[in-house]
This record gives sequence, C-alpha cells and structure tokens, in this order.
Amino acid sequence: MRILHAAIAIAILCASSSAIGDKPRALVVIVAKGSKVTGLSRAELRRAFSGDAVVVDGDRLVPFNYTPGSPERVAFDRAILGLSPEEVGRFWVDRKIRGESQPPRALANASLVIRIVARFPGAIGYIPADQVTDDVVAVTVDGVPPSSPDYPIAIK
Amino acid sequence: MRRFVWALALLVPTTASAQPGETPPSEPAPVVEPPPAVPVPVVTKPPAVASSDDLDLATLDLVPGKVDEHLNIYGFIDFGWRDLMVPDTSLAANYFPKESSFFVGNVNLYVAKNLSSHWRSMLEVRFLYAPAGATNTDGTFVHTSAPDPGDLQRPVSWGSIAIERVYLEYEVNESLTIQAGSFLTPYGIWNVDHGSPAIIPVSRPYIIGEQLFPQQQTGLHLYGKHPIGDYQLSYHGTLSNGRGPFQAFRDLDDNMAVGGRLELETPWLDGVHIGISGYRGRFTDRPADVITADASGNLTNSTPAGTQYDEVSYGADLLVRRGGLHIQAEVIGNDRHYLVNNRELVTGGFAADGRYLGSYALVGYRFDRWWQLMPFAIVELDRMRPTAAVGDKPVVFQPSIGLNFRPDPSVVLKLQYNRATIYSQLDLSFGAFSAQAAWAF
Repeated sequence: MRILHAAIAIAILCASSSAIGDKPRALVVIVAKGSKVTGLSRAELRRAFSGDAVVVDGDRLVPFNYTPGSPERVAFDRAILGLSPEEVGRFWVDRKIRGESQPPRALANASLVIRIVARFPGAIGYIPADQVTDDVVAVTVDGVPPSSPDYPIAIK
Repeated sequence: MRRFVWALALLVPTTASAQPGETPPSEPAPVVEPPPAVPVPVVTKPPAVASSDDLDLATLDLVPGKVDEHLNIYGFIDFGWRDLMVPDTSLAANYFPKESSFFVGNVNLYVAKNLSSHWRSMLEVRFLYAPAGATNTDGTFVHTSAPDPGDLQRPVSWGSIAIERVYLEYEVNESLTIQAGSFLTPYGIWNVDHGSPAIIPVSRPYIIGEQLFPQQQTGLHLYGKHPIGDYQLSYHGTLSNGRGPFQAFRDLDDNMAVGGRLELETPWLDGVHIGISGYRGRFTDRPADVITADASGNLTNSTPAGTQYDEVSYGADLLVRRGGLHIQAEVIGNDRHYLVNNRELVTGGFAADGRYLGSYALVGYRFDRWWQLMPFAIVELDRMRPTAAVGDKPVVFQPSIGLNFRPDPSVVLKLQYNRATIYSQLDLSFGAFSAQAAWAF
C-alpha cells in the first residue's frame, strides 16, 4: 500500500510540475525610466508594432521587437497584432511589396531590449515581467497595470 | 499490483523539473489550480545585466534621431503557366493566345532609401521582354534581337524596363506625408497590393486590368493616417497630370487631375477596412504641335485636335479579415465624356460616351497547415461601356476558383481556373487554367 501511495504521489508531483512548466509568463511593455509614457492602448501598440507612426504625449514611439520565432515575439504578436508567426511573416512581406515601412528592429534577448529601451529616446519594448530592472518601467496596457492578472500579454 | 503501480508511475509525463533520482515528497503534492492568465507580478530587481551605460548604441547602428540609411534593394518575381481554352470559333482567339505557355510575368525590383529622418526615396521598376511578341500592323510578331558583341555577334534578345513608380517622400509629421513623383493611384485594395506574392489569385480581376482609375499617376500625393480610438482613418489626396499616353513626363493638356481616398480601419471582427476613392481628370492624346507661317512670315504654333475626354472614376471597397477568413470586394465605376470634335475612332465607328461599372468579390480561407493553404473563389460582374464592336451593354461575368499556398512567407504557389462569359453580340467567352509561383526577395 505504501508503494501505491508513493506512486500516486510521484504521479501527482509530475503532473503538477508539468502544469507549472506550462504556466503563462507575463510579458510587460516597457519604456525608459523617466519617460512621460505611463500607459498605452492595445490599438497604439498594434499600430506601433505594425509599422505606423505613433506619437504618445509628444514622443514618437520607436518599437523594438524580438527575433521571429522567439517565444516572446510569438506571444506578443498573437496578443497585440492577433497574428500567428506564419501570418506575421506574410504581413511583413506583403507590406514590403506595397512599398510600406519595414518591420521594427528585432533584438536577440531581454537584456538587450532593456538596455536599448533605457537609452534610446522614445523606445518601447516588451520583456518577461520578472526581468524588469530599475532602468525601465512597465506601462499599463488599456489601463491594466502590469501587476494585474488581466494584463493582456503572456507567453503561454 | 506493484507492477500496475509502477507502470502507472512511468506513464505519467515527466518534465525537466522532475529529474530521475529526486526524492519524492512524503506528502502528496497539492492539486495545482489552473493558473491565471498572468499570475506573475512585476518584479523589480537589481539589473541582471551590465549597466546600460556600457552599451554603445552606435555599434548597433542605433543613433537617436538617425534612421536606417542603408540602400534597400528587394523585389518580387513570378513565373507561371497558362492555358487559355479559347475555341477557334470564338472571337476571343483574335485577342488572346490559343496556345498554353509557360511565362515569366513580373520581374520587379525596388530600390528604397531613407535619405534622412524625414526624406525617403523609392523606385520600383519592372523588367519586360516587351516589345518582343507584340503584333505589327501586318499581323507579324515583333522580334527583338541585336548582335551580341560578347558572343561573336550572335543574335541576343533584348527587352525593356517599365518604371512602375518613382518618388521622393517627405514626412511632415506622423499624420501627413507628401510624395512627389510617379506613384500608384491610391484606390481600392488591388492597385496598392499589386505585387504577385501579395495578391491571392493568379490574375487580377478584369475590371482592375481595365484601369477605370489610372494605375499610376505623376504629380503630388499627400497621405496620412489619424487614429480615432480603436479606429484609424487613412486619407489620400492626389494632384497629377492625369491619364495620358505619356503621363509620367508630359501632360498634353493644361488640365490637372485630382483624386482622393478615405479608408476607415475598424476593430470590428478583428479588422474590417472600408474605403472610398474618387478621381477626376482629362485624357488627351493628339498629334504633335505644328508650326505654320502666314503671308507675312509670322510663325504660329497650333495644336491639332486629337482624342480628348473628361472622366470621373469612383469606387468603394471592403476588406474583412477574421482568423483565416479573408473577404475583399470592390465596386468601381468610370464615366467618360468626349469633348466636341475630339471623339476617339475605334473599331466600328466613334467611341461613345458612357459609364463602365465593375465589381468583384473574393472569399478565401487560410488554413494554418498544408503549406498555409487558402482555397478561394472570386465572382466578377462588369457592365462595359457600349461600343460599336461589342454592342450596347456588354456584360462580363467571370467566376473563378483556386488554391493559394504559402509554404514560406516569401513564396506563394497558386492554381486558378476561371471562366469568362461576355454577354454581347459577339462570342468572346473563354476559360483559362493558370498556375503561378511568385516570390519576394
């Protein structure tokens, strides 16, 4: 009987570990510390990250993305642009053929995003919530604060 | 029983966090509730990375106030096969090739550069085999060949270049940009998409090919976007030479053409675009000026009569994208009124004033598998301008079905069958099967 209990315990532990592994990781939109921007709407994010010029509080936003296929990029594109990785690829190719603007600059990792957003005027990016540093500030999206469970962007 | 229990334990999926050899907890782990969407609060911690001060933005080609000033060269190409099933008894055989053929369609090259943060240059050219294959007045084909100095003077075929668009652009602010040069007329959906990888079917609708709006214009194009909450309004205004035989470099009349477009992008159904477009201009084609001298020897420059008409074009368009669903539709009209003594001579007599109306609707669904397959269907209905050759009110009905594959964002493979029926006093109906590979680079 002890063996049965032990086996059930192992099974539950493994199952719960699996669930924890699949737990969404919050992504937060960041700006430089001291920026006038404290919040953005989804529509503004969608426009900024799909190539349109967006001015908020007098500052023109300069978006920085992750490389295509990275978990952060996939999650952000789904949440804000409503596009799968394949759709995003088509979106930018089609836009290029129309002669419209090129995609935002893609960066390799969160530490680079933080360092550039902290220093580049008007820059915005997004990083996992647990990697926010003192150099940058997470902003609200549609008025939802980054600490809220309703914040709309997460790696699933 | 033991065997069953161990088997059960082994069947449970393991994760990296459950390493072999780890001691299982003595108590059963609590059941984990489904996690909330974003359970992790923002954690502010000391920088996990080196201070931002050590980062030289210039080494990343990131200088505040400076834009990417690289020369960008890119473009698209398409290659296809077409079988126009034109019966010998159909008069369409006089206008379209009867043979099935492979063909190189578009070879378009873009050269774009940001000259500074506000100024941008753009050039798109299309390489053509034309005039090879054109028909001479005696019915023979034009053959283009010249001695090749690099190959013992053997004949080499040559082609030509069409300038699709070339302009200088100045961004006044985020809501207004001014283009000066030759640009694609901002109307509807098709004319701006225009590149074969970006459009879903193999061939454009007949009504788009008929250019009820001029495909290109030369002059000034002002455009911009203005967000209104979750909506976005795009606007375009044009002032140009208008339609003409040499519209890119010479306007044969002093009448400027004006046009405009409004497009509302809405959040409905994940994205619905509604647009209206208009254009008004004068077309002029005529012989060159002549110089005559009167009895006193005074020279006079006079302009001979040619073909001249005023035209008004108007259109409305709708684009719906929801998940894999894609719906687009356009309705386009053009009214033409010839000026007195400037009516065009066409087959069967003089061209008549009149209205040309056309419309198409395209519905497709993009799957996220099978090379991103999109089956699509198009229905087109046009009422042509009356002509002596084809009758009073010829009507074109053209249904099409096809498949569009996108195995890679830059590569598109297409298959299409369409059947064109032209209801007129002449038999001009035919079917066509076509295949195309288009790619962007």
